[in-house]
Amino acid sequence: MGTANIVEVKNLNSAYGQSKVIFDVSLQIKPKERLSIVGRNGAGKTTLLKSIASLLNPTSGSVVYDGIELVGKPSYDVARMGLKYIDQDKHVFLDLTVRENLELSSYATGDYDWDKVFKHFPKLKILIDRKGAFLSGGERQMLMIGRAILGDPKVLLIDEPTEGLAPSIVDDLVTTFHELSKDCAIMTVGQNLSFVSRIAERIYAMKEGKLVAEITDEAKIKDNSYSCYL
Amino acid sequence: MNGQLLISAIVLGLSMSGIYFLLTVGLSLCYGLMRMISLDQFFYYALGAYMVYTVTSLTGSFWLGMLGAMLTTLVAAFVVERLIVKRVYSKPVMFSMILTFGVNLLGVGLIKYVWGLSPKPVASPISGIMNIFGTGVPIYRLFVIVLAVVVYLAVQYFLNKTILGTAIRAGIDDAEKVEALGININRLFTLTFLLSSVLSALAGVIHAPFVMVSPEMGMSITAFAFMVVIIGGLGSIKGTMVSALIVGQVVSIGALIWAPLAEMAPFLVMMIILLIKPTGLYGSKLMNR
Amino acid sequence: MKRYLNSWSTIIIVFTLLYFLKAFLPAAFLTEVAIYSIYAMGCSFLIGRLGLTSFGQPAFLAFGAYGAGIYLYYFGTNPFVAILVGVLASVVVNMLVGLFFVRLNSSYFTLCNQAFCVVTFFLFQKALVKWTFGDNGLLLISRMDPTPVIDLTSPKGIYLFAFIVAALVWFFYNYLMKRSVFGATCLCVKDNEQKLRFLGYKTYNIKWLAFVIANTTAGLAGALYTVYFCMVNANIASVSSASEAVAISMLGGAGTLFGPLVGTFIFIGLKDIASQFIRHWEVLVGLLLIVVMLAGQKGIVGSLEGYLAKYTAKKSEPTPALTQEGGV
Ligand SMILES: Nc1ncnc2c1ncn2[C@@H]1O[C@H](COP(=O)(O)OP(=O)(O)OP(=O)(O)O)[C@@H](O)[C@H]1O
Ligand SMILES: [Mg+2]
Repeated sequence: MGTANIVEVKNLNSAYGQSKVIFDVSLQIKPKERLSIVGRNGAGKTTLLKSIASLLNPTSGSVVYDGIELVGKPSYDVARMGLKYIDQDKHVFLDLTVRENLELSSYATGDYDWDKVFKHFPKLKILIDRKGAFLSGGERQMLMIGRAILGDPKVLLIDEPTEGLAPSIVDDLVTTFHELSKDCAIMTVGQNLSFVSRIAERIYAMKEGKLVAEITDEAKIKDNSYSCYL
Repeated sequence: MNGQLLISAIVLGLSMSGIYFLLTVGLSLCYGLMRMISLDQFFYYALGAYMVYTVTSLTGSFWLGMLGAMLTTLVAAFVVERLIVKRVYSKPVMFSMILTFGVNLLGVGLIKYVWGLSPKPVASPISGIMNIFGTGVPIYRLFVIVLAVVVYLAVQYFLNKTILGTAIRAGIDDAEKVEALGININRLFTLTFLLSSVLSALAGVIHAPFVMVSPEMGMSITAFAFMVVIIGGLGSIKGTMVSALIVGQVVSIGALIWAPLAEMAPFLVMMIILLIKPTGLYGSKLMNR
Repeated sequence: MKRYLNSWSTIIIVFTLLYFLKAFLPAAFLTEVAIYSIYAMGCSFLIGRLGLTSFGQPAFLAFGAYGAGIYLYYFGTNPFVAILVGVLASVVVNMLVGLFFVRLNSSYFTLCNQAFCVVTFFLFQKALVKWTFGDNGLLLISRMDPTPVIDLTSPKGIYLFAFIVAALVWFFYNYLMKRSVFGATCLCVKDNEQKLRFLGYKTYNIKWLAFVIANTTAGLAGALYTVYFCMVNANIASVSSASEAVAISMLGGAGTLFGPLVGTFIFIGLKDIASQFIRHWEVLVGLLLIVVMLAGQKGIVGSLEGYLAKYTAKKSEPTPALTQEGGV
């Protein structure tokens, strides 16, 4: 391992009550890399991301971010330290305008520099006074990512970013993700293989709560040969 | 029906609406944000009334009493929150209902130890009478109405124009996502709980001159408070306000027609509204969660 | 083990033992335990099996009590008939009220129930004062005729009768909770009503029936009270005792078979003893509620069942677990 990993997950186990969902998962995220996790519905991808972001309490294992153990830390601390989770259900606060959504994030992180948000998503500037309830799916995704990059996070965990989005918007997202990864590591989760091939530098395949393969070979990523794991 | 009686019933109804609103806005906020039913609010209401009695009889100033009551309640609510209530935030509603009912009973019992069982009078701080369309109306009642309106506007301003209010509205929508942004949701919970408690105490303070302050006063107003939150819809501030207005009028005009109607009529109104809309007038889909 | 604990013979043994406890404890206390535990049973069923908390149980107690009281005061003299009338009155009221209440979600249900309790109190205290005599109530002494077989006008008779009825109620709930499909469906409503509705169940009907059953149990207790105390007044519906049924349910263990009995026994015992030392009893009830809820809300019987289950599970399969451990 050349450069130090920004996130180091070791033997993570997670469960909902009695039912175990994540089994002994270990993985690493390097600074500024684009990483993807693929797996079927119900494989436990969401659960894994939430456990890393401390939104769920893992039953055992450790998550070290930037030299700090995250397990047991409240999730708002984790987010403020620069590891942010973006939900798969594209839920922006419906009653809040775009401005208020951004204000909240600024309040949480102390970062009021909205220009970088508008640099990536110029459209948000036009929509600034619109309520979340009246945004389209693509606009919601922009807002979710936009408000997450306030506070200059070092790691973004993005759950199924392309779910329900039109192809042209997916193209935009590819560009955005390449841009964003100049400043932070991005780990996405998804089943949209063409999207994954276009952004990922490294892929983990997940099955029934376990990581079953790691694909680092660029050619293999490009030709979707990892689809056998789905 | 006598016109003068009607006018004074309407004004009385409006001032009751003000008290109901102050008492229930906290219940509604707590439900909206924390998904808990905070039945201990009725203890803070009674505590507010007793404190205003004590401080007023010591210092002679009702306004000092009001301040003292709100500060005492703030401390009491903070202790209760730290020791007990903070444990229920993530639990199902049933849990918070039973637990806070326990807090309420404990509180009422303690009030009985401190102040005894005999009812205490609190003099009205404003004694004048104002003439409205030939009907003499106590100015204090008008003051209560104005105070409630001011509180309503202040709460709306807080929720819509300040960053903490924005965070609370976001939390009402989805608390987990507020946390994911990096905001300490527990602090918002505490803040909301304390705000609710202080408003409940204020309701007790301004209600005290209308009634004799007694240990059971929290119990006897619960039914009306519940009808208000149910008719308005749990979790909605505007709904709470509208329904406080309705219940206030139904109670006071109902009592004018036939005394027992004061309790029966709002209940019937509530039943009818629930038949049409099981989540109350302004209750939203989020109530199903 | 658990099955054995809940079987029919256990019910008979428990109630027989309790019956003969009168050799050591005052009969008045035991009679009250028997009647009050019937009342608590309904509440415990609602909480534990349906997920509905009701702080308005005194209202349902009152309809049964007034049904019996009004019959005895105005129409007849037979206490058996009075109890029957009380139960019928309670059934009718519950069927009507249930139509409104079961459509509400659990938070609204609780609030509405307590509001209903207050309204019921005022109904009997003020609105119907001409017939119920409000706070003075209906005095029924010497309005009941002695009955054959079990004489309900004698303390001994009512004592025996209360225990027989309680045992029957327990048989019924044992069947309902442990054997019947309906009981199982109720639990599903508690766990995931939405899902059940998607599966095509009419959850309102299930909840309605459960509501009627549970609150008629309360009505039965109310009717027994009227006959036992030879009087009924508006205080029976007072909200100040609204929490008692919930407190007993949580103390004993909501939804367990013997929870209400154990809860009632301890609760009333504690109340009788404590009221000699403590002036304001609600302090204790409040503390009790807080402690039980913070201690894990399983109650005494619930926790015992948990330990028993663990104990039997450990005893029955030690070897495979060991070999697995050793094999790794
Ligand atoms: N809140 C919950 N309570 C109990 N079980 C849950 C909960 N959320 C998810 N599960 C279960 O955990 C397992 C993994 O779910 P998870 O949401 O992590 O999968 P996923 O890989 O993200 O699926 P998808 O691609 O559909 O988003 C599933 O079997 C699911 O049923
Ligand atoms: Mg998922």
